[in-house]
Amino acid sequence: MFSRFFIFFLLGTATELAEAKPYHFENDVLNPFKEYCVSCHGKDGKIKGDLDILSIQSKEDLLSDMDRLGAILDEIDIENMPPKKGKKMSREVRKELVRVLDVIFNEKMSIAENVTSTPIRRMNRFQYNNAVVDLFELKKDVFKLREKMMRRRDYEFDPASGRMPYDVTVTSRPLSMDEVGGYTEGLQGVAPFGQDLRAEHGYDTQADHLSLSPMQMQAFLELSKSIVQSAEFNEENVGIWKEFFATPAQDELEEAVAERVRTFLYRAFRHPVDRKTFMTYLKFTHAEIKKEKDFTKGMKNFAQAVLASPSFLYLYNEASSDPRALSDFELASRLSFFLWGSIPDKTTFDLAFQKKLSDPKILKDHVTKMLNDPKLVRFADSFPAQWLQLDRLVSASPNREKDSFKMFYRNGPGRVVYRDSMHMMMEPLLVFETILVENRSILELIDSNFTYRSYPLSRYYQFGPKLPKYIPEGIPEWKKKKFANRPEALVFDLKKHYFVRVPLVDRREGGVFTTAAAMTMTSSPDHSEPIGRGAWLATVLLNDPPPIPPDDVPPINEKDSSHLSIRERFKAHRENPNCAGCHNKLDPLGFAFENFDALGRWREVYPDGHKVDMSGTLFGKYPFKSVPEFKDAILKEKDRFTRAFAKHLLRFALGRPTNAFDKPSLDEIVKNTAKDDYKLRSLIVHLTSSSSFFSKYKPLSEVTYVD
Amino acid sequence: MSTNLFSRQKFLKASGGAMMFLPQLPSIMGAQPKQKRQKAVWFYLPNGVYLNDFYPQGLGFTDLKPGEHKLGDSKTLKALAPVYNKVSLITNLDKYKQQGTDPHAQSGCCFLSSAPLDTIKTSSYPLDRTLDQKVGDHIGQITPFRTLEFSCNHLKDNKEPIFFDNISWYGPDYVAPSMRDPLVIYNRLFNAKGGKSMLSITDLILQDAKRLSKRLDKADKDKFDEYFESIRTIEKQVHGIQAKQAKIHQLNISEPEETMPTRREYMTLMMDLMAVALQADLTHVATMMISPERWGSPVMYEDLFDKAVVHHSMSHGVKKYADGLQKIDHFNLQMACHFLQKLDAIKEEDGSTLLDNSIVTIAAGLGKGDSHLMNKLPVLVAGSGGGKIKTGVHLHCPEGADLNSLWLAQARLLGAPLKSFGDCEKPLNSILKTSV
Repeated sequence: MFSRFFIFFLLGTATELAEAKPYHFENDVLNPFKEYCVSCHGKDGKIKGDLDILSIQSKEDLLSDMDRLGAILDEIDIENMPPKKGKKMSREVRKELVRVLDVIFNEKMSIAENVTSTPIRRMNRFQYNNAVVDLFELKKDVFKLREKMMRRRDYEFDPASGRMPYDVTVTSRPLSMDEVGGYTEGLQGVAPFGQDLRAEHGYDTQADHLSLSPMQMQAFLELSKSIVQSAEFNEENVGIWKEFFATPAQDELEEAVAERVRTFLYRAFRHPVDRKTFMTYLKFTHAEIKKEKDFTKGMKNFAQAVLASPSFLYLYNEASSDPRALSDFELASRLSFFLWGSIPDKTTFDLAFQKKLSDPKILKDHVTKMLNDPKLVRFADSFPAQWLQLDRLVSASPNREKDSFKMFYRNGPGRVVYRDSMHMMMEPLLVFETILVENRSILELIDSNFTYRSYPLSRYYQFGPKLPKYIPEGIPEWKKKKFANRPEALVFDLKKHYFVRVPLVDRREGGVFTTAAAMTMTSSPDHSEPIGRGAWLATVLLNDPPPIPPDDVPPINEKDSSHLSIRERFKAHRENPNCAGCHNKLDPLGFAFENFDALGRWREVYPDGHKVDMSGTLFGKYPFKSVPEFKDAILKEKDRFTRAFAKHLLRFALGRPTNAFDKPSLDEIVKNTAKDDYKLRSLIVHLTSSSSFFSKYKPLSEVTYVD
Repeated sequence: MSTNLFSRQKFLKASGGAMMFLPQLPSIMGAQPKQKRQKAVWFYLPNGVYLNDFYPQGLGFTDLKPGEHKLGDSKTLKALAPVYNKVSLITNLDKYKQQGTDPHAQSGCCFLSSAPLDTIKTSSYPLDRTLDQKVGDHIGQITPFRTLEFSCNHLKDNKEPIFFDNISWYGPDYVAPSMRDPLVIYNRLFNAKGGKSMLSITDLILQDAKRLSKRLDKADKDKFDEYFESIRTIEKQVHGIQAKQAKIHQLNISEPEETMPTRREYMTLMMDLMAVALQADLTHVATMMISPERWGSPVMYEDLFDKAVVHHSMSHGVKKYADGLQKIDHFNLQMACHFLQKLDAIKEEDGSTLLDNSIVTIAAGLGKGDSHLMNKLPVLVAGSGGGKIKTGVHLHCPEGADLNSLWLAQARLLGAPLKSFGDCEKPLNSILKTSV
């Protein structure tokens, strides 16, 4: 019979050893489980939340599912479990149980197999565009990218400045009249590749969403050709034209071609190429120059082939017998695709070549430099919009027939209807950008004393400063004359939106979560949807997306309970034990913002006269009766928010969902970010030096290969 | 520098495993009796249907006895009137559901999936190579495109993950993306210009790919096979389309205009493009996603409603939106009917029509949208597969009948000798004239 009476010691550094206390598995783990948990999780066939704790009888059982262990640990640590209704767990018992579970968890972390690797994946279209732009030093994008939601019209993204401009003119790419008047983005004659979808609760960097079908391969082949053959792919727009496409002196030709091919392959493939690959491409290039009877055309054919090559299109880590050795070049790509959505630059390559990049101190300095590079704009153009799921705003269509919603709509030329969501979308992006550029605390995402507003947007807010009606600069005189009787039409310019940084005093506004953008996109066409908002907040703010709704959701009977407010109706819903589990978590989050209507405007009463009741209790321990109190409750748990945010970033960076094995990394990141006053750039620096970021597990296995 | 074609095929065969088939060239098949052309198409109806108006009148769901009935009429099914004598209705089929994922996503992405439940370890969905792809493996090798995937989801917002929007999959996590832009479809299918020059670099990049593959671990290598498969498929497609140029020219297809048409115009155009692709024998196998599952974005149906509607939200308010739900179902079937009529207008030498010889399935992956249950699915089958499937009947299946049994029967009828589909080994013979 297997005995469970082992005593385990924590393995670790000297200081940790000194602090480590031994534990006794049965006394310290199984007994508290029995006392507090199994009555709902295992006993008498009751298995709430699909978790059977009674089945855990040994440490091996406990360690057999690390995600489950991580979840148990989290729930107890944040005092979600055991529930308030059951037997109360004292602070001491809780602390000790968390400590022991943590020790047990960490025991398994030293095993290499626990590293989760990102599978090989092709670049998404955003990365492809950026990589092509950087490779050729193009002056414009390859094609229009709707996913870059904000177009900066009168300023450059400049992270080194440490200061956002006071006023900016921007446009919403997907929603404004952005391209009218002959202005198109992208290279002439290049058709865009289909946008890659964001993974559920995740990002468009996720490996399982980035496969390559014949249809997409064909698109890449056509793209590579149309790029180099575009009329705009010329000396004016291509930064490397002189050093790459221009014809060298005849006596240097041989040497020049070799050097150009070598350099180009190195940058495109993100590591020095082996001799065989180099020779293959070199021979191809010479053959093409000869065939075309034109040096530049030949080089274009070479460049076209490289763009369609898998070594360019795919992000991957090589198999290695040492499973943890992420090479310096692999690290370089990981960093550059995370922060710049693209290939590394020369400095990063050089550090990788010298094998210095993985040196912790050099890495830290270099990441700091990367964060000051204008290429960080790609991060600002991809992460925040996806994190906040702002794409949902693209299709938000409040009911136009409701009188109170009419202000949202505006007729444009050609009877096209435009929506104020074009202004709303800019606000959270500008706030995020400010926090990034000015290296402010991520807590300002929840609660900031500033924001950016345009006049049309300011009409949706009650407490922020009133903005004057502003007529954008650069509007031609004839137009001003034409609209002399209707200056409104100029104020609501559909092409350019003028935003000003405004101070906020009232804490009902500020941060990104209470913006009109967030409130509008989480509402139905007719009214606010507290549960939808709750689910959005749980996912974005807490990184704890609710489980899928059950198969048969009992409908809320709208007819019979019309005398009840929406809150009361949901209360009835919540008393159903089948619904309570999730709704106890979701409802306080969702109803907290009920004072904001379906367009984000403040209200105290519903249209039907019922008073808005937004009060609730967050995390089961922080009662709140107002939006500022709700924000305070989140801020009291700032490390929890920081962890949730770091998990989002890690998922974005690594192209995979995080799991239990990322826990030690996240612990470190949160601890160190807290020390740095929760500054966004510090968080990123700590993230890039975490073991999750630094690891790969790609053991060599038996390979059968037919050539 | 050129790679020997034979060795490349050998390589592909080895690396792609069961997915690879050498083309069945007619010249090496010898003289055989001329076979009638046969097409297989699956339409997907999103968010369930409004059953009360869908089922033939007077046949309440609960008091309907399992077995074969004469096909009656209903408010929604009237949309199929012009071809109704070539249609059968099958009710009470279930697609077994695996717990733990969103029902809308699973009903969509797993609709045609061949995976038995709880067998796919890399994904939370029981999602593996889908029926259309499996049928394409067998009858799609002689056409330029083994299969074609269409979708009438024109929405540009990025609202839902791929699982809600795709019914055709090469394998787990490996989506067969669908074509939704008429102009892109036109250029890809009918325009052979530039195809050949595109292939000038494939030898070079394939050499590169082989070297890259050697540096990968097992799992990555398996995924990376998609690259080889893609290049090979494109080569075949380009040559295939070139060979069909005369036929395409005959059909006189004009380039779609870049305008923003109404939903009806857009869908009609999509149906026309799909019909022409089949008529020109660019493929024998196609799927059509009428709309995605869930996807809470408002859609304008210009001649049905005066404002944009969200089908998914409506499906959760059956009482309130009964009328609107019925209208959308009717509209979707009208569009399918437009396609069926196109096939029915193509006459073969023996007087039968292309529709008669084909199998076109129109079905929803959820029974009722609001229940989130993947059971009691409404399934319509048009065309008799060359007289092999009963038409004009309403087959009400016994409780617990498996949708996979229909898929298995169809696969075998279409010439894919599958032993089982999912974990179903018994084909739905009751809808066939002769068992398979």
